[in-house]
Parts: sequence; structure tokens; C-alpha cells
Amino acid sequence: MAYYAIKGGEEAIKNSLDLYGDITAKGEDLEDNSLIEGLTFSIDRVMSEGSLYSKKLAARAIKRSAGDLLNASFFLRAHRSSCQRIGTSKTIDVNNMRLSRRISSAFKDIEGGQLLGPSNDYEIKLLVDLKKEDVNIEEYSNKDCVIKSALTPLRDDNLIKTLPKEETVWDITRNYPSAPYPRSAVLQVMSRAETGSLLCVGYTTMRGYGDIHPTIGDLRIGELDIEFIHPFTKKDVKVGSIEATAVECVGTFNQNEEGETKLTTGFGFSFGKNETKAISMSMIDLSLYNTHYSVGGEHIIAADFDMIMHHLDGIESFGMTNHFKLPHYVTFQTDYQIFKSAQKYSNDKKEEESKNNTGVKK
Amino acid sequence: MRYAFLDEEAKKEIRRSILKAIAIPGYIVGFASRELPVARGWGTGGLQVTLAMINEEDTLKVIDQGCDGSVNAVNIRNFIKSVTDVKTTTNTKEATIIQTRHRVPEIELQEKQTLVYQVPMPDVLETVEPSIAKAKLLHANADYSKLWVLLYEDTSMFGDSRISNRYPVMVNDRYAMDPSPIPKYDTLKLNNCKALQLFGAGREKKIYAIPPYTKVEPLKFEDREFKVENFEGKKCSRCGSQDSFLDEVYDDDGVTHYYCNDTDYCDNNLNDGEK
Repeated sequence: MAYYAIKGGEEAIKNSLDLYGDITAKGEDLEDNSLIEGLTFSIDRVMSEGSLYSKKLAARAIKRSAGDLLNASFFLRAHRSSCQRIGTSKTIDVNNMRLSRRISSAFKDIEGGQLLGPSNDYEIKLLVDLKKEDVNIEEYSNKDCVIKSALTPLRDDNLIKTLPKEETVWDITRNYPSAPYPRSAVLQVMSRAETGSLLCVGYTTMRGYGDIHPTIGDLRIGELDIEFIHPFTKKDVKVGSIEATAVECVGTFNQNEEGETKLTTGFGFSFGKNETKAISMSMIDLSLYNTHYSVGGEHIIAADFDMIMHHLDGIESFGMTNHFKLPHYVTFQTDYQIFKSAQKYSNDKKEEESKNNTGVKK
Repeated sequence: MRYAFLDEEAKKEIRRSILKAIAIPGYIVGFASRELPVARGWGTGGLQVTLAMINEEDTLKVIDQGCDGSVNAVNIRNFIKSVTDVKTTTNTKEATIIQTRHRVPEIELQEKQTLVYQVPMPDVLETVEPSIAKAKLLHANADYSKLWVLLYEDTSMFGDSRISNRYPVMVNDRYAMDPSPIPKYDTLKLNNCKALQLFGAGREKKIYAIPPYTKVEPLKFEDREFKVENFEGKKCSRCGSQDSFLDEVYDDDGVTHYYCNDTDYCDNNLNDGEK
């Protein structure tokens, strides 16, 4: 009997998983808490892309993936599909955030001052340890630090362009919209997006394919309370709090539909401490809704709703990219046959042409 | 774990989308598309359709590129079995639900069977109109001129369409539809099929359907023949069949062998021979 290699998938999968298990086994020995506390940015990224706020499950997913963060996000997404929805929390206002960090690059000084908080912005990236000087750190508690966005004065003066308010908030996990896409759905897609993909598209806006150089009006990280209307008492109940990052950027200005000159803004939001992601998101949001305010007439990816709605999800793009590893021998066979017949067609045609040419004596 | 993994709301939504799809043959219906423990692009659309409709009475068959034993088919079948405990089979005749990637079984399907296709690119217009918003308009106006132009250009340059699989079909004389990457060899089996055919695209979040006994025709010019893959003069080295889609396999000595792609069909031929 000749070589016949198609069956036998069952055992092959089992063996493959066993071998992979050897790679991930060491990670399983780590304590959940050492990840939650020690690798807090990884946890935040996974919760954000996995669109499920649970540090414990994120820690478990990271261990299960031996540190492959996109794969870890995938675990969270798969898990949330099996969870029954209990209800919808009340809308969160990021102005009510208990701030641990909040800066504005649009103004030298802002209400409450520039609060750098924990940040690596001014860290010198050296792997060797330099001698540290002792610094006196002020005692700080975020408990009472609730300050509105630095753009509030401009908003109060009616200087900022507003977009029409949506009657109901869309939920892309229950109902995926088709074009034209509601803004709440677009923002959800970006907030769940793969960080690197969002960064890349955000970056295009800074290199001539968008507003080029917006200003960060308000960047904040802190705690937000989640409130839920109690099903029996109908009163607001605080069910927990989350850490999140929110960004408002300011773009150029132009006239709105009523002919009034207004400043344009964009909004970014992400679970956990995810500044790069939130900034990128705010810049794409700005580009999407202010196309004709943008400089340059080239095709602007960050202003193309289809582009944004269908290419930023890490779980989707990574799944599709990896699917190319699946057997495609039927597909390839059909490609090959059609290639052969097309090749024959053009060769025959050439031959015929050259015959005709030699027939005619010059 | 819930029966068939998905929460009941998700199943309800998917069933509604399936019903709508059946009511408008060939029309693309959007759905939310839940993430599954299987990666996007690996059959999550077909899986959601199957999981939303499967029950204790069903017998399930899963094939990938024609084969029940292929890695992804095994994986999907095991997953569905683990969340439903449903009966599984490799026998096409016994199955009530057949989930497939890129093939239609060789033997004719029957009424009360459902063929669930895994679909990577649900919109046939994607190759000529990448913008989903514009493509939706073209479908609404039954404006398939871009597809016809593509077909014309290919024919003039290469003698035939360059599309080798997922060849566009017209469903019920109304919607141009992507039949998923099945070979052209299988395209004609979609026409007037006795079984219900459902198509699920998980990553793209779309469902569409061909109800039983629906007219389905490949998109082609009147004066051009619809050419399918040709295996003339070749036969299966295992069962000797000369009337099935064949896989080309090179052995270690570089010699080419041909085998039935539909492994169940091949097994049945062998069994019948032994009887």
C-alpha cells in the first residue's frame, strides 16, 4: 500500500498538545498574585483585548498561554461567550474618575495641576541599575482626587464640536452593526482592539494620513465605580470598581454643519493602564469623524470606517492569519488545475501567433 | 458548561439569523458572532450554526477538505461532542448535520440532512468591491456588473475565469453568493439540493442559506462551458473509483498517486467491494 497520510489527526493533535503542554507547564507553577502584582501591564492588556475585566482570569490565561498575551486575550474572549449577561451597568462618566495620574499637554497648568502619578515616561532605558538618589515621595491618595477633564472650560464655552447623541448604546457583542456604523459600536471595537494594530493605524494619522499632530487635552488613569440598578429596589448599587485609562485629544478646527467654527476632539478608553492604546484610539476617533477637517487628500485608513471596524480585532486577525496552517490541499489542487489550463491557453495562443507571423513574409 | 457551549440568548439570535437567511436564499444576514474556544478562521461560523441547531436526536459528521480524520475536523467534532454528547459518524448517509470545510460530500444528500459550510469570505463581491457598505448597495440593486467584467477580463486573457474555488453562484435568480472555497467540481451539487445548506462566517459575522430544492447556477457566459476540475484517465489507487474528486499525493520516491478526497466515499467503495 502506498503512502496515505491524511488520516490520523486524532493522535497527532493529542501528541502535539502534549508537547505544547511541556512548554506551558512551567508557567502554571506561578502564583496568580505574582502575575497580577508583578506583571500588571500584561494583565491590563489582556483584560482590555479580551474585553473582560477580571485580573484573576487574565492571570490564569497568561499562564495557560505561557506569556503569549494575544493568546491569553483569546482565552478571556472564549470564556466570556459562555457567560450569561445579567444586565447593563449605568453609563460611566470618566470625569468622575478617582485619579492616580492625569496630565494635559494642551495647557501649562490645569485645575488640580499636572499629576504625573506612576509613569515611565521619563525613565532612562538602561538595563543596568544606576545609583538611585533618595527622593521624598509625597503621601498621595487618589480618594479625593476627582477632577473634570482639562477640556471642560473649552466645552463650557461651547468651543468644541459635538456629535449627535445616540439614543441607545450599541453592543457589538450582541449585535454587530453594518454600515453606517454607530459611534458607540466603533468605540467598542477600538477599545477591544489589539494594541499593536490600533497603534499602527493611530500612527498613520500622525504621518500625513490624518490630523498629523493633535494635542492631548486630557489623559487620565484611575478608578471608576461601576453602578448597577438593583432589580428589586430599583436603586443604584455600586457593584465594584475598575481601573481604566481615558484620553481626550484635540485636533484642528473647522466649520460644522451650522457654519460655526469649532475645535475637533477624539476620545479613547481602555481597561487598565493602557496609555498608548487609549491615545491611539482617540486619534483614530478624531480622524473618523473629522475627515474633511484633515490635512491631505490621500486615502486615510484611520478615517475609513470599514477599515477600523473589520481589521483591528486581534482575536480575529490572529485567528485568520493562523488558519493558513490548516490543510488546504483541495483548494490548492483547484488553484493548480486552473493555473495549468490558463498556462496552456496562453502558450497555445503564443504559438498560434508566432505561426501566423512566420506565415507572413516581410 | 452549558449545553452546546453558547448561552441561550446567543443560540436564539443565531437561529433567528438562520431563519431569515433561509427566507431570503443567498442573502447575507449579519449576526453578533460569539468568540469560541476555537480560533477565528478555523470554522467558528460553521460551529456557531451547528451549535445553535444541534440537539440530542442529531448525528454529526465533520469533514475538513473532504476528510473526517483531518486534524481540524477531529478537533471540531471532539469539541461539539464534549459539549453536547451527540452521536457522531463518518458515514455521510447516517448524518443529520454535516459540518464541512471546503467540500460537498460525493454522494447525494437527502432531505432532512443539513450541510453546514465553514465560510472564510462570505461576500462574493469582496474581490471586486472591498467596501462592505458599497457591496451591500450592489447586492440590493442586484448589480453584479463588476463580477461580469472580472469574468470577461479573465476569459479574454486566460481562456476561462481565474477563480479556481469559491466560484460565484446565482441563487434563486436573485443574489450572487459565495459558496465557500469548494472546488468547482462541487459547485453544481448546490443546485436543487435536497438538503438544507447553511453557511456560517464567524470572523466576518455573517450567515446565509440555500433552502432545499433551490435553483443555484454558477455565474458564467451563455456561450461558455462551466469547466470543473478534471481527473480524466486517473483513478483512486485505493478503491479504484473514477468518478470522485481526487487528491494528488507524492510518495517518498516521488511517484504520484491519486486517492478519493472524500474518505468516507472511498471507505464505502472498499466495503462494497468486499461484500
